[in-house]
Amino acid sequence: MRLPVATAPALRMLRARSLWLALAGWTLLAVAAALSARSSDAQLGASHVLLGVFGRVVLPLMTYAIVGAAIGPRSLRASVAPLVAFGASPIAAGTGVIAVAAIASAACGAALAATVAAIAHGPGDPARAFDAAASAYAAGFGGAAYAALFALGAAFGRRGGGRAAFLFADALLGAQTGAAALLVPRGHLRNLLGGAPPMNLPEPASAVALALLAIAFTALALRRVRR
Amino acid sequence: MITFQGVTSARGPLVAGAMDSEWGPGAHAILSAAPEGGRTLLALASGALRPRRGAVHVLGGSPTDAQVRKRVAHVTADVALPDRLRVDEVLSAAASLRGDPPTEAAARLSAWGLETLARRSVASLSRGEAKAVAVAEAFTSSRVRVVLLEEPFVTLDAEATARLAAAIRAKAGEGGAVLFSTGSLRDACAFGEDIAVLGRTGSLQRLAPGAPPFALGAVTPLAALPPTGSPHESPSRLRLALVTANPRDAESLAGHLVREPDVAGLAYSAALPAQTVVLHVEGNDLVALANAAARAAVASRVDLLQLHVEARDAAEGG
Repeated sequence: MRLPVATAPALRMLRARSLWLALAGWTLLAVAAALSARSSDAQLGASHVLLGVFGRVVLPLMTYAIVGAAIGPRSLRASVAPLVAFGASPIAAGTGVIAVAAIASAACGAALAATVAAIAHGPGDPARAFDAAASAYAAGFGGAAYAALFALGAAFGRRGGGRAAFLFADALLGAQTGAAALLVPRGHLRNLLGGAPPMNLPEPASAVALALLAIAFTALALRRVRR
Repeated sequence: MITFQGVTSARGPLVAGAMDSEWGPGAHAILSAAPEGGRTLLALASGALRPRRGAVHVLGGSPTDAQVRKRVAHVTADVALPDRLRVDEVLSAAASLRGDPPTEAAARLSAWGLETLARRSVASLSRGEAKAVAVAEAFTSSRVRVVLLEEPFVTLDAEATARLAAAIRAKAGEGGAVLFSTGSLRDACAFGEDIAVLGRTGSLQRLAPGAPPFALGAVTPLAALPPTGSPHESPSRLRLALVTANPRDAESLAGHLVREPDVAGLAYSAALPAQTVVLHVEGNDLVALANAAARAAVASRVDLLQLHVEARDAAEGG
């Protein structure tokens, strides 16, 4: 174990049976929606599924499950406490947990988004390969930002109950196109997937915003862990 | 090795008064009147809790310094090990974090008779087993110089207790420091080279040097019964639970206690679970009470393996 601050949360995540069940469930839902769009010969099948079921439901909740498995049913601070007791710095241990969750969320989100785009591809969508790559890039950024947001949420409450509050806040604020949508991943993800942009931001700006949000949420979560 | 300079904390008994104290190499007991007292003190020493005022120095630096942190082991009363890992993976992670040379986990555990736990998952461990693993990690690390133990003997069986006692002596003998908190005067006397009593208001007083050590002895019958009744309204209280088949043991202990000038009140009850007599000893000074209890226990020659002592402040009940 050369990098125990990352290995421990990675093993915790990989050995959580509930995570594999959740991943299977959300994958089935996304693929079923894609197959449904494909069978109905929708003109913009991929866009419809990516902006609908995938972007609104699957990616946030899949990331929620991944972060929950990486942190466990406790606060972020309590989650890193065992490693801190062995001499790890709280910042390093917290960074390890968030990095593992963000990488896993980005990878799973990107893979599933590409799959959905390929399956649900309609005549009005961009070229299949390009659409799959663009969707993967958007979901990768979105997954990482969501992971950082939920990790910050897990820094609140004895059992990390802030995660649920932040999920709700993202759904509420991100559904709009005003300034409030700039503060959460949902609006920017929708923009990257071809939907309505928050405050008319161009797509590259939303990509930068997602990266900045991920960094800011991580920094705030680490600040909570260090206290 | 561990220095507190004018330390107050945002929680626990150290809210009220600033603490100044110092512990060097050796085995040091903190007899805490309030359960959270020892927990707070050890958390401050480990860096898990930051002082609101004052400074804590461990091994010449702040307990939050990276190099200090690796050489301090803190075993809490409710140990939390990284879940979903196996015990050998936990020890491997700990060795990597502390900078210990890689050693087979089974070899480290075997010194504590725990080698059968090496392949078990942390989730499958009982509370006592998890604590034993954490204690084994602390004492088998070549890097750890300061060991902080919260109620270390509570969930350990007799064999593990004997091993821990030997490990504490060994660590102290090789120049390390072991600081443990306990509510048990018996444990404090048996395993600490010195004892400090942490009061409800954060005052820390060292027990008088040369306080009589506990020793096993035969029962001396005492004919006279001690006075009984309700506990008085005194600020400090010791609760002594004596598990014995012979009621004369309690009579003997109580007889010696009532002769102690620092004991202001005494009440006892035998109506608890069979063969258990509980004595509530009250006075104005917890340190003086602890000394009095130690003297009475030795004088009455009760079997100290049957005596369980807890310090309490009367204001908190108990």
